[in-house]
Amino acid sequence: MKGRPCGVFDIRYSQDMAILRTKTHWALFILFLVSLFVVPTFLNGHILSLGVIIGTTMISMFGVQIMIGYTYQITLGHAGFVGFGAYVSALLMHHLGWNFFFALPMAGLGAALYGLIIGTSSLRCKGLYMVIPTISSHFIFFYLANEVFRKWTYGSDGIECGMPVLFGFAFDSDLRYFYLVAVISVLLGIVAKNLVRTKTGRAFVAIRDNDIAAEVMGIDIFRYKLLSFAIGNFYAGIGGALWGHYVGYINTEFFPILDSVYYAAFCVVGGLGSIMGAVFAAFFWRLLGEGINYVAPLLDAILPMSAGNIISSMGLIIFAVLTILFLIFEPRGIAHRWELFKQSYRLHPFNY
Amino acid sequence: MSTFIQLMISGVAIGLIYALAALGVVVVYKSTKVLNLAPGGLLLICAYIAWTFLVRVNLPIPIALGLAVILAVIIGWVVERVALRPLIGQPILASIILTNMIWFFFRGTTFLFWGGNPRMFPSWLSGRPTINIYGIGIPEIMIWCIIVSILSITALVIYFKFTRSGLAMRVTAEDVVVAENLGINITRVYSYTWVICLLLFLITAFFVGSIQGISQDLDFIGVYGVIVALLGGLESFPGAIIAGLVIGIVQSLTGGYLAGVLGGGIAETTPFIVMFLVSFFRPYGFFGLERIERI
Repeated sequence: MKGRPCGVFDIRYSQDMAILRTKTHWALFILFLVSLFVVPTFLNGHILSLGVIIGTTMISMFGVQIMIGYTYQITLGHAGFVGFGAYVSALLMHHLGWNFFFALPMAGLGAALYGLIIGTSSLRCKGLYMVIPTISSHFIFFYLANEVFRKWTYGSDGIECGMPVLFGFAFDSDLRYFYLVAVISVLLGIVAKNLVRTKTGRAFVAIRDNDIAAEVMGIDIFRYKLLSFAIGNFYAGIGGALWGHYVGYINTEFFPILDSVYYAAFCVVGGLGSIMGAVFAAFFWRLLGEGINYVAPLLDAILPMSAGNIISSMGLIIFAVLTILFLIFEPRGIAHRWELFKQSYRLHPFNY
Repeated sequence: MSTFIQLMISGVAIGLIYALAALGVVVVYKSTKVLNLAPGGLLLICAYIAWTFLVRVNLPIPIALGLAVILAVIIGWVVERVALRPLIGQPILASIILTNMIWFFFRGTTFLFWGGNPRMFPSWLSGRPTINIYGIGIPEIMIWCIIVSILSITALVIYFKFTRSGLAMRVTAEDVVVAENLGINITRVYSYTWVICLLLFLITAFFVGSIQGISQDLDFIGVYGVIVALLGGLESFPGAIIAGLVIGIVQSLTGGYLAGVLGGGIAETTPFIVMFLVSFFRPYGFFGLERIERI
């Protein structure tokens, strides 16, 4: 039972279920939305581009959260799906001249379709064996992008991604693109938050907790596993397409197998089974990466190794050590700490 | 025909390497039910340690190999003590991510200390002549590879079947809580497992280093090792060898015959396509135990 602040009584079911329950909630939410659109005008391009990258990572991370955190379909190929989405929208815009806002949903649907194909193996595989199809999917994506569709994707030369234009309004500056990503990630975040509260979401959670029991209860687990794959990879595709069009140029090297593992790992760091966890995961990952990029050249002056070695290896080592520490000391992730904080804030003067 | 035989031989050679890497995964799964996704990183660190003692410091061979073995044992023990032990009894996702992070950690540290330049092992193994049997050239290193993999499998099977600590490992794999109640020191089982695993990776790293040199690409052998272990069945030593040979031969043949038609990347991708298809029919691998689950 979640604690309620003193004096807040849920007298209707709709109040009990509401995400934004109190006036303070609404005030904070509106304040957040207003500041999301006002504050960026004062920020410089570097911070805005970091914001765009956090936003796109967050969208992909919602997908990981739905797949691992809610359905426990362990995916180690998420960066492959992200890349798949980026390629789909880049190809549609480059070769067919589609508008970005038609190509973006197609990117999501394309990645979802690929996810469905890979997800059919969840009929037989489960638990740790889901590693097989998901890792395979990443390498098959490399092969598809570099060899099979070489004529269109130009292989390792990479493909140019067009500029998003809406009714003659081009999202060409960092600020405009930030707004685009902010709107889409907030919308998709709200969708994800509500999705996991619906019948579908409850079916996912039932499969996560015990898939045999779920099946006995009459949940069509194959259908819901596939649905989880489709939705999770839809998010991945959207995130990838937004990222690709921001960078302006993609090839398969932007989607390494390391990122696939990081998506799963930072999902755990953020907190499994909570959409807020995906938000924390995206912030944690990208801000930490930015910090490492900033610190590594400074370490170069202290350590005797060559600068190139430090810059390429520092990220690997620090991410690995931090993730291991999180797994050992806070396996429930940052989201759990956030819940504890909210709980103690609500009950503030009292400690029960 | 001669290209076919040549491709088969190179496939068997690479397959044996995959099989040796897969043994380290199988040992860990068989005794602790942890899917070891770290072989990439562990192979790298073992290879660079052996290289440092053999080439950089240029010690006599027995001393260099002895020191490398001691360091590998220490690394295995430390990895288990620091990272794996706090996570005994945690869900499988934790162990999957943890072993992945061990991979990244060692990839990072080897890159930090040794850089990205490829290194070569001394050529006293790779430089041996090719043996001719009925006109088919077989490199001698391959024969050594076969001998070593058969020896290590025999040793492992004997260890698991006939010794008390091997029995303890099998019990631990069956049920950690029961094993602990029966008075088995499961922390020691974990330590032994990782030490054995590191020794296997040292052997593998030594062969890989002799055949194709050491570089950061070595961790791909590790990824294929995991794939081979999963394909062969995570509980089976002979399965790892058979799956290794299958993957190696398939890879070599597709690389030789289909690269012109399907593009150069097909050789690296076929193991994954095979893996994906096999997961529909035998999700537990060729010889894996199908677990019967209850609510």
